Amino acid sequence: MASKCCGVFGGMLAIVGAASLIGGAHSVIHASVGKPIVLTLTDDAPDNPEEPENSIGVATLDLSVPDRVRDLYQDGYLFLDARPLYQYEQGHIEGALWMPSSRVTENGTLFFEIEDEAGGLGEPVVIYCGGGDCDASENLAMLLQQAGFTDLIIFKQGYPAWEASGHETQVGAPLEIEP
Amino acid sequence: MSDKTGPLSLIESVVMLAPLRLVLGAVFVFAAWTKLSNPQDFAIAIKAFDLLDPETGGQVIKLMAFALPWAEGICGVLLLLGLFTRPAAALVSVQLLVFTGAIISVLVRDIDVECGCFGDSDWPCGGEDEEGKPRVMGLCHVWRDVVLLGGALILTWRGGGVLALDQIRERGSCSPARDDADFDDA
Repeated sequence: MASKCCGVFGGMLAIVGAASLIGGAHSVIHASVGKPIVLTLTDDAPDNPEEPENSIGVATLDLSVPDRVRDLYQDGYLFLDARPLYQYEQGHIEGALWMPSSRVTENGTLFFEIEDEAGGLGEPVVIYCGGGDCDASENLAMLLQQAGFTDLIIFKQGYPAWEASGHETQVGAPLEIEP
Repeated sequence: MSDKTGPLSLIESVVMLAPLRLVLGAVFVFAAWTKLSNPQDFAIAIKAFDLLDPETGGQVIKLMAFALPWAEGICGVLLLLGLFTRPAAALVSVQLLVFTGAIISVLVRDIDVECGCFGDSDWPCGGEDEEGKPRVMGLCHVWRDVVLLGGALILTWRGGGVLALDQIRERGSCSPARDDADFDDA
């Protein structure tokens, strides 16, 4: 009985060891082919303590006076809505594209569509979600960053602040989504 | 139950152990495949559980994003084959206990996160609710893990049965039958 239990425990350790070794090698290979796992917006960023947020081209904007987000909107910047579909359908910034990170990871060709809509990888893209603690914007920003977009702006206060300010909104499904 | 080749053992294997092995193995291979096909999404899902600080524990999260699916995949394949069934089932049990604890901690802290357990297909807990909103983490995920845990514990206790490749492996070793008999009788 005791030897069997030791055998089971030893087998578990062997599987954990094998998984750790293979997983570690897999992560190294994954990173070496240009697809490192990104968890924070400062991952893989140049070491620049003076401007940590801007060193990788990702800025965080508040909807404050003067209303900088509205200025960007009026300048024709591309806005991406990273919230779930039902929230987008209930109301979104007029003209914003529905683009949660899960949708982008499912369909890699969307990167090219975003690039076309923005006018290039170096053009500014504003991303927003539901404000507060929502991290959907950051998740999408990380994916776009990996894809080569260099001027990403996160509208941190998100749709609730935009709506409360009385700016342009619209309801309904995304154009590319069947009703 | 010390007679591992008797008719009772055969019935137990056909009716219970083999189906359990195949279902649990397939579930874990599928879970591993969905995670390894998109490790970035799985890493973000781990981060969303808010159990590790991404600044200090970022490397751990990144390693987990690869090592955890590989552990699931190895266990799943071993269960499908019936090879080293008990260690594989025991490790699956440990994983399910950890997953269940993590889910309960998310529910207690009232954090709105996606499971990430099976990628985008979160059967049977995914889909949308009556209002068309996507279901987030809930008791369904806990019950799903508890059911899977039950199956894993049975396999840890009973082994793979007479239809498992363990039988061939053990016949080739020195005195495994005695060990198994001891374990079964315990």
